[in-house]
Parts: sequence; C-alpha cells; structure tokens
Amino acid sequence: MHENKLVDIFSSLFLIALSIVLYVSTFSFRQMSASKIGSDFLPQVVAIGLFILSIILFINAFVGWRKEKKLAEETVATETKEKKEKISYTLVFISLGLMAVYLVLIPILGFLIATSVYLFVQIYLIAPEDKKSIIKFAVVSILISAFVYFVFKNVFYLMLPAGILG
Amino acid sequence: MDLILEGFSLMFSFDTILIILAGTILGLIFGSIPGLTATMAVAICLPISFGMGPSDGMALLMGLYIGGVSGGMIPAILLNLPGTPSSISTTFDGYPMAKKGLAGRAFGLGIMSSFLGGLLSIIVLVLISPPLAKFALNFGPFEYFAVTLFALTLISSLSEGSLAKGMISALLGIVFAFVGSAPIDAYPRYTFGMDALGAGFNILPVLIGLFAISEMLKVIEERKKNTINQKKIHDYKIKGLGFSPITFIKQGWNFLRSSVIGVAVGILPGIGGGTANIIAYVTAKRQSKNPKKFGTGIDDGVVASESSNNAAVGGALVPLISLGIPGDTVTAMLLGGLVIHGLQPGPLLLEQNGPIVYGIFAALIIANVFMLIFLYSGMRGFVRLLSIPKHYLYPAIIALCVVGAFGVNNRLFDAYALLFFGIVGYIMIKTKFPLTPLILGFILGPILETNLRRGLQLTGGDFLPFLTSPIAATFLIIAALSVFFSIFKTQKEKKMAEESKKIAS
Repeated sequence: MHENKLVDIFSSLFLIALSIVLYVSTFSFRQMSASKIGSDFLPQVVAIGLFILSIILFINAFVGWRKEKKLAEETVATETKEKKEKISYTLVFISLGLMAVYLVLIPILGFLIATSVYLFVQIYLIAPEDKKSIIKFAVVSILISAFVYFVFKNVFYLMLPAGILG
Repeated sequence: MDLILEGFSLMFSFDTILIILAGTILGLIFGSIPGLTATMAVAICLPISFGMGPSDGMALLMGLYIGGVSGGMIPAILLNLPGTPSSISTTFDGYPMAKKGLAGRAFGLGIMSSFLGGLLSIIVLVLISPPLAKFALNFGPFEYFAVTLFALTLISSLSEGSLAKGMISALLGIVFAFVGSAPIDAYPRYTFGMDALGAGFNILPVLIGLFAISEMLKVIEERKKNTINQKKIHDYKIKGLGFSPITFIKQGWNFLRSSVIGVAVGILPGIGGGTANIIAYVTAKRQSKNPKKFGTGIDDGVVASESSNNAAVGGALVPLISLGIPGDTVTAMLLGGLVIHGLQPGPLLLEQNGPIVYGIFAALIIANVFMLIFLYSGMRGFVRLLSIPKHYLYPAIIALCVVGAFGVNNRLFDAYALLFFGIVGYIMIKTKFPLTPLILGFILGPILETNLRRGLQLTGGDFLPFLTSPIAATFLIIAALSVFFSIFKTQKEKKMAEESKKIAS
C-alpha cells in the first residue's frame, strides 16, 4: 500500500515544479489588450491553484506514507507478502518506442508499408508464446493495413501518405 | 413540432439509416469486447465522421454511443467480464443466471431494459433540452463563467479518487488548452517557440490519445490476463423475448427507479453510465424485500443495471445539447464532433441548427431500435467476436488511432501529439489521477477564460458582478458546496477506514 503514497509524493513534487514553471513563463506574456486582465491572468490563477493542490496532495501523501510505514514495520512479521500482479512495463516501453518509430517512418515509407511493419512487430511482441507464427502474423499485418488504407482513402476520403509507393 | 419532423426527415434517408446501422453494430462490437469501450469507439470514429456531413456524422456517433453502452452486457453475462464500465453490476446477477442455465433470460431482460431505459431517457432529453437551452440563452458572460466553473468543480469532486487529484486533473486540462493563441487577444502562450504549437493541440489527438492509446498501453501491460476461454461460455439461446411479460411487469417499479437514477446521474457532469449502473444496483438491493437474493442471479439486478446505464445516455446529452457542457467522456467526444463539423455548441445550437439537434434525437431513437434488433438476432455473432485474438486486435486499434489523428489535418504533428497524450493518459491511469476532469478542463478551459475576460471587460476589471448576478451566484455557491461536501465525505471515509483497521488488528 505505501508504494501508492510514494507515487503520490513523486507526482506531487513533479506537479509543484510544473506549476512554478507555468507561473514563471507568464512573466514574458506581453499585454495585448487595454483591459487590466490580460492573457496572463488565468494561467497565473491556474498555476497558483495547481501549486496549492499539489502541496495538499504532497502533505496528504507524506503523512499517509509515514503512518503506513510505521504500521508496516509493526506488522511485518505477520504479514505474508501478497503476490504481485504480473505487469510487464518493458513491454509498454518497447511498444511506445515502436509507436514512435512507426510515426517517424510513415512519411518516409508511406502509410501502407510503415503500418504493415509496425503491425507485424507489435503483434509479434504481444502474442502469447505458444501462438507465435511469423508467416501468419505477416499476412495478417499486410491485410489489415491494406484494408485500412483502402477504406480510409476511398470510402472516408482521408488523406494518407503514400510514401515510396505513391 | 415542425422541427421534430424536419429532424426525423433528415435521418430517414437510406444512406443515413445505413450509417446509424453501421454505427450501432460497430458500437455493439466495441462494447462487447472487454478492453474496448464506447468512448474508444467514438474516439476512433470521430475522424471518419469528419468526411461526412454534420447530420450523417452525428448519426454515426449516436449509433456508436447507444451500441457501445449496450454491448457490454454480452461478456458481463457470459463471462463475468464487464465489456465496458457501464456493465459492471450486470455481472453481479447476470453471470450467476448464466451459470444456472438462464443466460437467455438474462439477455432478454437486459436487452429489453436497455431498450426501454434508453427510450425513456431520450424522451426526457427531447422534453427538457429545448426549454433549458432557451433559459440559457439569457446567460451573459458572468453566468456562463459560473456554469462552466460549476461543471468543472462538480466533475472534479464526483470523479473517482481524491478531490485534490480530480481538481489537479481539471487544472492540467486547462493548462493543455492554454497552449496556442489566447482567446480575445490571440497572444501565443506556452508554444516554446514551436510553430506547430501555435494553433494549440487539436482536440482529436488529445481525445484519442487520452482514451484509446492509454487504454491500449494498459491492456498491453496486462496481456497475460486477456485470454478468453471459449469453452467456459454458457449456453445462451434466447427463446422469444427470453422472459414472460409478467416477469417484466413485476420489474416495472425497479425499472422506472433505475432509469430515473440513470437519467439523473447522466445529467450530472463528470459521471455517466459507469457510475449509474452501480448506484442503481445498490439502490435496488437496498429497497428490495429480500436483498440477500441479490448476487445469486435474480432478475432485479440485471434490470437495474441495464436500464440505468442506457438511461444515462439521454441524461448525459442534456447538458451537452442545451448548454454545450459535456456530461461524461463520450459526450466530451461528441462535443469534439460538433466542433469538427463547424457547429457551435451551447444554447445557441438549438436555435441555429435546430434540424441537426432534432436529427440527433431521431438518430438516437433509430439506433435504440437497431440495438434491440441486433442484440436479439445477432447474439451468436457478437459472442464469436469475443474470440478474436487480442494480439491482432490491439495493434490494429493503435494503427486506427494513428490514422484518425493523422487524417484530419494531415499533419504529422497531430500524430506525435497523439502519442504524447497517450503517454500522459497512461501515466495518469497508473498514478490514479482521473482522466475525465482533464478532458473537460481541456474543452471547458477556453470557454471559462473567454467568458471571464469578456465579463471583466464589461465591468472594467471588477469581479463583483460575477457574484451579484443571481444565476451566476447560485452556480458558484453550488460549486463551492460540492467541494466542501466532497472534503467532508473523504474525511468521514478516512475515519471509517482507520476505525475498521483498528478493529481488524
């Protein structure tokens, strides 16, 4: 449980920093209209609000964290470690990187090829071990991206980059 | 009356009916597959609706909305997995019914409750939106500022998690909306010298990133849990309606109460079907003569859950249509849809685009009928969809998101923004910050600022008129009360939690 509070502590610290940056950047906003309330007013109010709320979050989290830590120390002998849910952050990070590469590749390779490649790698990455089949995944990837490309271009009239194929 | 006829005639063309039909089926598909939601369906299809006219576009989105909320009952009853948050309490009694071999009866009751609950809420929507919009026409900048602030605080205090986190989330949404040129004097803010940021973030990548990409990242992380065992699915044949008419008459009062709860919860900003079904279920249980039977597979539970979640649809549309203030995440998307089609949301919408608004009403009714027909006749097909391997489905959805973000303006920047907001959404899910206030802050922030500055221009910088206008003052007081009430509630909960801990140890 007290990991949750730690997360809150870190996020509140980040938010406090963010609110200060937001506030300081309003100093460079120039006054464009004659009224006393310019385009820097609401950003300043929001930044102050964000700052105050983040401090509240920080205090709450810190107090709760210390309490829980104490409690955890007292009961550490009786407590059996709960099995943690299996969460694969590496997979999330790899997928994010993959998406970024995909976006960069779209204008270069064109939508059709970039999407096929992306789909293939992403499917391979998240498929269960016992179901991995390169040929099947390749065929499915190409079919999906061809279908999406055709439908969006010819039925919904969205522009998609053709790249080296166009 | 003329407007109603005009609205219906707008929808009763072959093409439009076909679009509503496609929207409803697609919505049902998204609703029935766990991990995909109505919000996601609307997010992904927003760019598609862009290519259509405004009335066809809105028709598609209404079909998706109705279908998406209704489809969730299929895995809820058959697999004990809610397809969408709207069907969480359907699992409580629906799944036990299926285990007893009564899946057909559970479906019959669920479908009929969804249909009637939806219909009732649409009637409420048609009846109260026009007068409400007329009333709101008198609003000046003071009143609009107050209503917007009221909506934002209510959303923050009603959403899950702590009040501080909800409010932080709303403020962050406003901050993201600051990026780009300011309202009134168009001064560029927070652009960091980047040209692409000059116009601000486009609403589409923000919406799709926050609600679709973030969810996809979450399911990728939990991929091991996503295998669905087809053999565990119970027999689900529906004979006739699936239940006798007398059964349903017995449920009349329960149905009515749950639908009213659904509509009311839907109207409140920030919460929708996901909360309505749980409140309706708990209320039904509390008011029942034999509450112990709840959870063992009784009709009341399924009726309460499924009528309330569909009733929330009409409710959530009330503030959207009459005030231009979205009530939940799907209506936030619909607001985006209106903006994309060049329609100005707000009380003027009904006056300036009456036929389209009544067209929306008509589309809802048609989609509701389609939902009834497809769930009764196409159950086998939807059940089969549950077995689509997730490792094909999720990457395909991500690709569709990229198409959507990219397609509207044909700017690569929007695709990067999509990824950015996907990461923001994912981090917020992980750190337990609610997403709904953020998106509403993003949408309402500019409205808030415009009205604040317009009001202050009128008064020459004096804040007092914001408090002396009776309507504005009322909304501000309710906003303040909602914050205090929320603080009071969490303090009470904390105390109770501590006491129960002491007793336990």
